[in-house]
Amino acid sequence: MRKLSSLSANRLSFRINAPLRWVGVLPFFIFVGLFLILPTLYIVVGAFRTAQGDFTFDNIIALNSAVVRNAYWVSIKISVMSALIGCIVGFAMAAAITVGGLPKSVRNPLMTFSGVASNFAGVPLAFAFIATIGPAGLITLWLRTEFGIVMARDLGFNLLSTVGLIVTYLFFQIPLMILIITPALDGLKKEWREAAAILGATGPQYWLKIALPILFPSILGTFALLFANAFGAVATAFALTGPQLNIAPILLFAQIRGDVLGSPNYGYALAFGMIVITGIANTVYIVLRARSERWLK
Amino acid sequence: MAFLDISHLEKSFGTMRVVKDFNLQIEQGEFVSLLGPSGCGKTTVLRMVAGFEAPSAGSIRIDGKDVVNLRPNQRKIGMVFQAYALFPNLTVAQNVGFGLGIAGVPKAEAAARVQEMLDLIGLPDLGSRYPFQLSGGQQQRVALARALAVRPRVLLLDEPLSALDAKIRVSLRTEIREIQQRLGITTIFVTHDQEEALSMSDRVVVMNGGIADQIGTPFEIYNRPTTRFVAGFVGTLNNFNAIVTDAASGGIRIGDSVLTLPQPVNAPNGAAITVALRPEAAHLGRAPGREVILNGTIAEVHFMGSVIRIKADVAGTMLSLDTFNRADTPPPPVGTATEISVSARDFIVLAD
Amino acid sequence: MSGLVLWGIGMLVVGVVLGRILRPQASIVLAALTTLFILFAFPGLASDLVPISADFWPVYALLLGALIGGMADRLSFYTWGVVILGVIFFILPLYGMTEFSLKMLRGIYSFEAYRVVLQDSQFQLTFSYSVIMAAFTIAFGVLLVVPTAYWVRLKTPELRPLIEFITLLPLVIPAIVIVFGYIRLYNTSSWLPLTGTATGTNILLMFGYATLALPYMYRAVDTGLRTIDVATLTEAAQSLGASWARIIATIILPNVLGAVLSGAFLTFAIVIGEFTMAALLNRPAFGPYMQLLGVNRAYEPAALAVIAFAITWGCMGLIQLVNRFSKHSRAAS
Repeated sequence: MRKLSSLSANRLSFRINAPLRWVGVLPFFIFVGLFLILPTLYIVVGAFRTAQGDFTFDNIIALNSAVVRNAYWVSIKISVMSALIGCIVGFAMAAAITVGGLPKSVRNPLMTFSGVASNFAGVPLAFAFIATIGPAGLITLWLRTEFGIVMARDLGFNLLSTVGLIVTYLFFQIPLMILIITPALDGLKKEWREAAAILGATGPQYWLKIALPILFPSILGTFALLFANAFGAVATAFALTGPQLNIAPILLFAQIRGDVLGSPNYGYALAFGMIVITGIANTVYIVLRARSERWLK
Repeated sequence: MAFLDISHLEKSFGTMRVVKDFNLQIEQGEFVSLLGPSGCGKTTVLRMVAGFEAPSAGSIRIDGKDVVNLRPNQRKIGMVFQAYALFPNLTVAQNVGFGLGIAGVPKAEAAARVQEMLDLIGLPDLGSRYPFQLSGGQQQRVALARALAVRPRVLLLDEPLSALDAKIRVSLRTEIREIQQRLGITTIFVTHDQEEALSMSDRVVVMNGGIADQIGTPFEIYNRPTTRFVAGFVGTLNNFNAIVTDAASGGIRIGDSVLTLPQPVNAPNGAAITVALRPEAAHLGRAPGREVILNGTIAEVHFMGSVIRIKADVAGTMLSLDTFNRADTPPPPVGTATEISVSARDFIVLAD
Repeated sequence: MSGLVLWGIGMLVVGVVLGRILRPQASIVLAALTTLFILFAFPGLASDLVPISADFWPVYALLLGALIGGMADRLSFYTWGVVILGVIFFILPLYGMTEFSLKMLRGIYSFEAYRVVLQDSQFQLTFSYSVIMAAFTIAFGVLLVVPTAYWVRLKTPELRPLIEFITLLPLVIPAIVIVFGYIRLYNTSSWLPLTGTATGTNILLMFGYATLALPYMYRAVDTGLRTIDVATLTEAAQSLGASWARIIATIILPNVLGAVLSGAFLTFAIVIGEFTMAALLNRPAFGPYMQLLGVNRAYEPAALAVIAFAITWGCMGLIQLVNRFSKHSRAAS
């Protein structure tokens, strides 16, 4: 603590300096408190309350109904698949432009495009896919007229389904993977590859024993992020399949709009379940990212 | 037949010739340094021996067999990098044993070899540590152990000490040389630090602009430089402008001092040449055995403790000479006229 | 999985095996495949000599597999292959939506769908609504984030981890949950009845948008502040007699303008396309309008998708431009 004696002239302004230090961040905390924290807490608490305000686990237990279980399960399935495929394909593309040695003229546009594509989600994305591989889409018609292949019958593919949603989600999942994993791949020092080679390792041996173990936390962490990203997405699904597809966000959407589940507190429980799942996934991401940064110093 | 035979090695990147007609024969067990400034091609030569760069022309024979067409992982060579390059996800023991695992050495034997290596580098108890827990000097020693664990035929070191503190550099220098001599392994050491090259090597290759300017023992390189570049790069040189007075008998004049070189001068009478002098060859005042007297004026005196560095203006050249501190003789003040004695044999005539 | 797909994959695998056996002849396979492709793309050429027909697609799959197997040793084949396949996956939907949007008038390409959309009063209403909302959100975001980030850097650095964690929360908590909380918390019977009036709901929506954009805005501004020495600049300004507001407005803000603009463009892209919050709060925003149009119309949604993509691309491009210019100004100083 500073000595007051040395600031006799500014005594008044100094004495209120200490709490004044926190004044600057007050607007921020008020804003996030009112419009981020409080609403979330209200939902979380509401999940454990009855309509009258008493504490109860009933809402959480009621989540075990067939409709809700199915909705969560389908959501998890879609999120896992789109995250998994997004990880694999995104990793392959990111590896191609970093360690694969493709020229800068390929890497830079791809990175820029990934930045755009990862933000191009929601309603317009659904329209783009409907126009391409929807029931009357470009590719669908092309396959039928040129090859005589009817997509739904011969390939078993229907855009307006969970598989279709997975494919649509890939449009922003893959670029997101590319954006996040490219810096990690850049962090693979060239000397590691050379040291492994001079010690006798072939390319695959280097990847198996050195590169992939180093990258593993990043990859797993990004998988978790992609999972959470897909799990919470509403707009794309809504625009693609309307309220019919039974996934958790759509169910919650319908509940908010029209209380289809029968009790408002039930909706809280649904939302709470979503927060728990995305919260776990994001925690995994943050923890693994911190761990991977330690190795790639 | 030399153990490691590099002949007519060339490397061009596009139109830029980085290595030009490089030739070097190294006997088994020899420690050879490639010494030169940045961009002289020394690292490129090393990387070609390792297999990371493909030569544009020339051959590299190890034990009689040309390895140019072999990949790096087939050459049985060890390499230590400037940036240590330890695998961060493996422990020290796993790093050292990496090559053994790749070669399929049985686990028990590999473990014994790893421990032997760790003992060799003086870190027997650090096997379970991770690289980020080690200091720079320790990491580099582990890198050395890793390279040696597979008993390579040749050891390559790419400026291994450049990233370390000065004190560690000196102690590690000695260690590396000791280990190399104990194992008797043929070694190529790349550095831009002449002190390292001179103190560690059996022979030194001074490189400049992609070619080997001179190859010789440290003594030869330092005392009998054959090119102006080698003379200037290795050690300090005092350059004097001299006029040839009698080419046949080696007579030259520096300032107002006339002296006779031990060999004839390869320039016509009256021509201006450059002769060079090492600082340790100059002596303040008169001394027996140094018959040439140069007259100069003290310009700078730096008292550095045991050594006094004096700069004297001699015939227009700033001569740098070191003299030891003597408790009974204070250093001469700036501005005094002084005599500096030199032996004619110490002058190096620089070929232009 | 349908029989056709299995059949195709099977032929591909057989081809790969063949290709590995025939490795030296891979170049012949490549030549054959290329020739086939050209003849297929231009049916007029020699169609009587070579069987070009979709019925032979299993043969084509075989040849493709042989090509892959034969070229297996070349890394560049894989790296280029992966990238090209990826690019095709991304280009196709963009191409699809563009082509579809031009086909409103039967038989010809025209901008009819765009004309209809742009003249739609609902489009103009909702689009301008979203643009205005975006402007307010950006203004509010800048006013909130810049002083806060500045203050944290200067006065309360110990709060940085907490604030960074808070700014990451909107990425964790789905937007639908947040807006659900808004509806329950700020309805007409609560202590802050924002949803009671249209203006109140607009303000609520704007706060919602600001919350969604918070992670990006804060990270952009914080990164921008990191590159300038905030403490020294402030002390210099204070010694010359400037007040806090003046310091922020005339010293800090211009120097982080690049970062602020990046955050602003990103916010704009987010707000324009946002659906969930606007739909559940029943506001006439662009996102719900697009969705509604998609239910009833065929070609106009594709045109809207093109417009939305162009806007997103424009925002990203502007961000890149701003970053490039700010680098130059920093280098010059």
